[in-house]
Amino acid sequence: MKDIVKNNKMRFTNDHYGKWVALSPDRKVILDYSSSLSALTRKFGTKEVVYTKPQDPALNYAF
Amino acid sequence: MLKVEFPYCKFNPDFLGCNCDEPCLLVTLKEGGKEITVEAMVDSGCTVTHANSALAGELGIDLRICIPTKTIGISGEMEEAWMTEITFSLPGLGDDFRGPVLFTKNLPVSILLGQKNFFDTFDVHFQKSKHLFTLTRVDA
Repeated sequence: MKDIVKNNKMRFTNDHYGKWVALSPDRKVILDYSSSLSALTRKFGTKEVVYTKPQDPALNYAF
Repeated sequence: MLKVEFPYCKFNPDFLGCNCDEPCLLVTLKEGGKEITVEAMVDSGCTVTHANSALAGELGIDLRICIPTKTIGISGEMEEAWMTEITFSLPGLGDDFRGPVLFTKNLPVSILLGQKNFFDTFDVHFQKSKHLFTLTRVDA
C-alpha cells in the first residue's frame, strides 16, 4: 500500500477498486485508500481532500 | 448565464479518479455544518441522485430518520434506500442548491447525479466527440 501511495504518478490499481480513495484537491495525488470512508476522513478530514470510489476498468457498469 | 465545461475524465490524464470515458466532476455535499467533496458522475438514467450510504455518515445524517424507500438497478433487484435532502455545491455554477438524495449501501461509486434534481438545476450538454460536457445553470 505504501508504495502505491508514495508514487503519486501511479494510477489506480486493483488495490484501489471497490475501496474509498482520498485524493489531493487537484486529484493528482493519491493520499491513501481504505474500505472504510470514515477511516480516511479521520486521517485527512473533509476539507482540502477529494474522496472517490474508482471504477474497476475490468468491469462493465450500467449507469 | 452560468456555464462551465468539464472534460470527460478519460481524456484528462492529469486527473486521477474515474478510469473510464465518463462525465465526472467534483461536487461538495453539505448538511448540518458538515461537508465532503467527492468525485461525482452525471447520470441521466438515474431518476433521483443516488449516493453511497457511507457519505450519509460523514454528513451526520441518521438513515433511521430518513424516508425508507427502494431502488432498482440494472439487475432488476430491489435494494433498500433512504431518502433525504442535502445541499450541493459546484464551484463556478452559482449558489448552493438543495436537492433530494437517495442513500444506498451498495452503490459502487460515490454518487450519481440524477434527474431529480441535478438535471432540474442544470442543462447538461454531452459532447463526447469533443471529450467534454457542459453544465448550464437553469435557475440563475
